[in-house]
Amino acid sequence: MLTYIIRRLLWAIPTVVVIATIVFVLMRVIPGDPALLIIGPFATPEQVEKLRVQFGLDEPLVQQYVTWLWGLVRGDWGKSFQTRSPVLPLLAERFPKTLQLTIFGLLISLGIGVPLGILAATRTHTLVDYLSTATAVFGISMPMFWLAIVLQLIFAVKLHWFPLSGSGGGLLTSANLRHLVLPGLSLGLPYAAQYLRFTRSTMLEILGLDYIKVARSKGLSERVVVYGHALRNALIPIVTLLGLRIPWMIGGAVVIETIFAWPGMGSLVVRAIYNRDFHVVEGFMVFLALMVVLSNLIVDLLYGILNPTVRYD
Amino acid sequence: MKRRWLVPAALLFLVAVGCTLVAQPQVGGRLVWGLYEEPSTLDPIGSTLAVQHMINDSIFEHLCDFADDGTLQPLLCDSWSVSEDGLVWDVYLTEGITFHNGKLVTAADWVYSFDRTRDIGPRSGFYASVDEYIAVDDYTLRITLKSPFPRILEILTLGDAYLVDKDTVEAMGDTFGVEAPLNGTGPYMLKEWVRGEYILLERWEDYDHGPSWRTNQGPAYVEEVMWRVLHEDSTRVFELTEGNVDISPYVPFSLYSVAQNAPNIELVERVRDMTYLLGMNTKRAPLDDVMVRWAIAMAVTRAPIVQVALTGHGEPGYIMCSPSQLGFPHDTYEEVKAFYPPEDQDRARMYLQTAGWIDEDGDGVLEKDGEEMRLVLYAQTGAEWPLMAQILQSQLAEVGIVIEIISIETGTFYGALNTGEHDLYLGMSGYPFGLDYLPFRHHTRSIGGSNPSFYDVELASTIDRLLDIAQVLPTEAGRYGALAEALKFVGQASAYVPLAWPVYPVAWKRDRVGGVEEALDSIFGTQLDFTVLDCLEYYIKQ
Repeated sequence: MLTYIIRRLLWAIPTVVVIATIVFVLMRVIPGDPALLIIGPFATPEQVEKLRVQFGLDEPLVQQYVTWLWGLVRGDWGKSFQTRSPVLPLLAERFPKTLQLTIFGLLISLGIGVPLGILAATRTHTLVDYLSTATAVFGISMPMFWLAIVLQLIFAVKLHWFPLSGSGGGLLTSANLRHLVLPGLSLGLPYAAQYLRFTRSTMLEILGLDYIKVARSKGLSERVVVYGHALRNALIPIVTLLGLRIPWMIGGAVVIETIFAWPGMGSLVVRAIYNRDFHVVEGFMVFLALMVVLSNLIVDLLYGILNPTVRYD
Repeated sequence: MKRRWLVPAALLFLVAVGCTLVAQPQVGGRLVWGLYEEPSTLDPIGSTLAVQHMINDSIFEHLCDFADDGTLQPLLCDSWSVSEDGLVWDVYLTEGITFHNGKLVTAADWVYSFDRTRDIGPRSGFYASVDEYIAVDDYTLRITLKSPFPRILEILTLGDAYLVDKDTVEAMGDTFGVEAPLNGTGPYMLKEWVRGEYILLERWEDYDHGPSWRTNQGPAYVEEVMWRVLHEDSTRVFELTEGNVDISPYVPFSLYSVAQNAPNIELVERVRDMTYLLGMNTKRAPLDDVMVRWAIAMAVTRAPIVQVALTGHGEPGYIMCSPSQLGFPHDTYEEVKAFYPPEDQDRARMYLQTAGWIDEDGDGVLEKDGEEMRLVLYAQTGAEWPLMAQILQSQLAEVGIVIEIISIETGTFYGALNTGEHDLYLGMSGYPFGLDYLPFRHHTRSIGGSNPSFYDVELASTIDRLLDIAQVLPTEAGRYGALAEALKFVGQASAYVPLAWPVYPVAWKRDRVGGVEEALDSIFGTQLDFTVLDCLEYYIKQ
């Protein structure tokens, strides 16, 4: 297994380099001059050019790319044009809060989606099934930002149960956890709806298979059949979905962080895109690519736990 | 007899004492601002963002600053003298001023700060006339100029010309501006910056040199000032109405009713030092024809733009200078305005016809030499821009001009303007000083930069000359007079159509915060971010 993990991690290098290259090119292809955006609309062409030289943007594109890539390898991810400070600490400073929000959103989506999906699958064509299906449709249909504002209005403005915005400072303090509830729900609920639908359909398919009928005919309790035999197999596609959704959730966190003034990487990157702060956006994308590679690796390793017949060659 | 007077006298005394106590600003507490944008750095030369200037004004200070009456006054200096040829300025610094860490401020610190501003600052072009900054002695700063520039001290009040401490800048390296200490000389010190969430300032207890035109010369009344970063408009306004934010420098028009219906919220709006404008690319036909530009300017009706796009929160703008800008021709406004094409669609049609644009096939679109008049209008996404573009589209359609609207985000928008892909564009720009704003927008040397109308034809040389003269005339009256003349020719050239002067709304909790109205009354009160040392006025009501 260790050889497999090392091989996968080595394969991650070309993946990340390709993504980094694409992002590098994209950032330079889109219109908008970072120097002009920093210096403001009233700059003279000479002033803009001076700043471009300062940022190294006057150098040939290939040279810029090689310098940046070589820096990436050495742990120097370049400097933010806006703050003039190194990118890596800038991202690292924000990463814990984004990770916290993403994990909490993930727990909510799985914690609500999977149990309700099982419930709907085991009680098909009952009120429970209809209600959970309707809830799922509603959850999938509503835009994340709209849900976030509605949750703010109900639970913060009207009921005063949770804070309206901010992160409460620190990590895992009681204030921080209270601040986490609404952004976490906003991020997790739409995905919970997706897990609900996916779990229901997967479970329905598995509950109709022969080995489940055999289990039932052997006189095993419904609880053992559902949770001991059906769910284990149903979890394999759910875990696959999980691997795909993690980067999506980080993307969704960008929106949620802005609405809730959550100090994660999202709000930083949104500003960086608007300001054409190339190295920050590139750094974030490399970070995201690493997250995707890692989450996919974890998902692949989970397959082995869920299905012992899976072998890592 | 005596006893009869005793009770009313005692009551009167109590009322008087009570009134005095109420009127006295309280010391202590925390003032929370809701900011619409987070500065990327607090290094004065880091950016030109207004929010950065807003915060830095509490931490750093200028050599001079503008008093409430609009006159330039010494702040960290006592006086100055100018040589007869106008090339040597000696500024006599106030002795005994210290940085937050107790280090004495000397002329060498000013030389370092101004050299840094000129060499690597984002507004370095402003200081092009400066030959050298010299520390004559500890308390005399000499500024030598390449050519006479009577506005030099005015220019040194810009957001990047603050006094910084060389030792701190060098010791902090890359982290200067993003981590404490910043070590300025202002009423507040940076205590903590949780990026993406808030910036916390704490009062500098030893501050005692506030400007004479402030009611408080220091230290500041409020113990701590927190600048919360709340990008999302609705979140910011809800935090204000919920009492978690005390003051917000910007409330979007769409959320006015939320703020106004909440208890104890005071919402004040003033005309900004900015002008919404329709810019024309005079390098592209048919806009290279002044008759067509006049016709477009005449076809525009401003009232619907203000009423619909700005939901009534603005004033129609008829000249390319806002009444809030220093240099607005208050005395000769009507005379200047007369040089701008009037709102008159019939005359617009007549001008277009004279220019050879006629609707030959009766489809409502003008043609000339077989070509229809179709123009591309670039606008930014979000807020009022799309509405404004649609209103203009419908107004110009009435005179036979077809407008295609391209809505793009800000970065792409400015990129497109610089390359001159547009026929027309919608913009909003301004500056406290009209004497700087006009050259940015209209001088031919700004072509390729902040002059996306590219007009170096017709009246351009006259406008250039007037704007250049306005910079160097020895008296303010003379400078503003030249500026007014330039404004007339700008109207004649019609490369820009002024549309509206927007308002700047500020909302605060009147039961929590005092001193805001006093600060707003200052000359730049229309834009809170340029109110000099307003932090000295605020206090938290107990």
